[in-house]
Amino acid sequence: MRHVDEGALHAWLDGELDALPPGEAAWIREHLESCGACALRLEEERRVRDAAEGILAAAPVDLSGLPSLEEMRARARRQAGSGAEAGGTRARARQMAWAASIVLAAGAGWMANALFPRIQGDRDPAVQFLRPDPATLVAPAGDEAVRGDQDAAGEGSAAGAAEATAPEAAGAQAARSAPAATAAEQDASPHPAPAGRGVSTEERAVEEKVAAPDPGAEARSRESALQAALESARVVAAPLPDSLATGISPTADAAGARPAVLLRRSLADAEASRAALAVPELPVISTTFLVPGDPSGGVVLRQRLPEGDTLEVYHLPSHRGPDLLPALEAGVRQWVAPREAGWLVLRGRTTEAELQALGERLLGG
Amino acid sequence: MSIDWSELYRTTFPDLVRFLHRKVWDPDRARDLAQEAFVRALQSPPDQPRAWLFRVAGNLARDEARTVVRRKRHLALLKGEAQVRQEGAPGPAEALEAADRGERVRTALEALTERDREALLLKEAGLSYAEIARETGLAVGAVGTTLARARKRLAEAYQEERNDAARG
Repeated sequence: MRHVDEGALHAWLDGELDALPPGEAAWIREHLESCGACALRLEEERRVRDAAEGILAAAPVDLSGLPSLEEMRARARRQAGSGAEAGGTRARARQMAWAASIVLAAGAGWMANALFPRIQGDRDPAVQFLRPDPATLVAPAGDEAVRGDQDAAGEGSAAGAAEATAPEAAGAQAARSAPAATAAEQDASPHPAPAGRGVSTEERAVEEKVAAPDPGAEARSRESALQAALESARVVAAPLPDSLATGISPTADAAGARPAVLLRRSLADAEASRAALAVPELPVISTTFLVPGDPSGGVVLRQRLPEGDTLEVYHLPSHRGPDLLPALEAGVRQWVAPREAGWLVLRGRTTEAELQALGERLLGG
Repeated sequence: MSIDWSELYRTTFPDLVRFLHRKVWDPDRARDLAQEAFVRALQSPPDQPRAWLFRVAGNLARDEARTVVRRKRHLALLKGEAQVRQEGAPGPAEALEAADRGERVRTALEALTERDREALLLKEAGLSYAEIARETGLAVGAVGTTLARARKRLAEAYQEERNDAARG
């Protein structure tokens, strides 16, 4: 006859019936009624449990005069340097995400680096930042860029790649070993396989750090990166092209305002914005604009799935739908969610159900 | 998915302090580290905040142990324990006895393996088996067995301590 094992007895005593296999709790209850030996063992284990509890209680801890919640909130605010308690600002952050990405890209592509540090908790953001070719900062005319991208998407031709150039086109194409080698090297990992040597070590090191974040150092380096971005924005910022004012919510009034001023306002939400664009709890490998220098073309984030594969998260404006993205490779699936400001598209080597779950996690907060 | 901070504070913060105390055995450090963990949560609210807090606290304590030289702090322990009795001033003998007991518990805990001790302390802090499993890497089904072993070992080790003390 089977008897109740020791671990199950303790789970029973702790009231953790959910931790038992299905049906086990009912079996234990019945068994204890009929098996005297097990009933005795239960009492014995109860004594052991009580003894342990008593021993721990014998080392009392002074819990009087603990710091209050308000004291800690104040400290959190002081340390972070920003007033926002992130909880609850996700919805607002999502709206600001577009504004932030637009405004920042208008000035200089590399300002995006400050907004999108690769992985949460990263202590050396500089290492992870994108370094786009300065020559690509002049935005090509909207149509040309789209056409260029489409060509490249269709044929992977060198001409197409050159047209859309730099860090970005690599975004959509690195997956298919496009000739855009210069840009490809900056993208963390070619999809679908996990990255080459240098990057994996880096990423692994950074991923380890995710476990024990040091907000002090993180905040300081983030602040200095953002500060540098702001400085350069004043110097380099070009007037916002009209195209940016359309189809993007809700700060369309930003079109007339000077980029540097908008930056200051947007940067306050930058942290939240970055978080709003990525699927929570997955490391972010890279962030790139689909059309260099033209944020209205959309943003793609690459994140690492738990299994090691790459997830692509596209935030597309309404005039650039998913059909304009490169064709899906074999084994790669897609999930599309239309939104007020455009589209959210997730692509990865996983099931559609998983993509949907990830997408909902991003949207639902 | 927003966190009720008052509720979290009320239900978790004292447990966090106690949990840390069991690791660093210094009442002031325990409070500082608990505060550090909670402040981090305030800055970047995690999913499953309760389990997250204990994980961060565990990491902080581990980092602390690596960098700080451990010194016997009988006097500090004495002072800390003396404050615990709120009814009337503790007599010196009482306070000393409390300090000794604290030391014995600490020694007894050290007789456990790290994983067993961790599971036991997390249980004392009020975490569920599922949370303990997640934090320790154990399978949920193994938590009961681990606790059974840890509890027995603690009782044995403590008894040995008392026997040693009695023998003088």
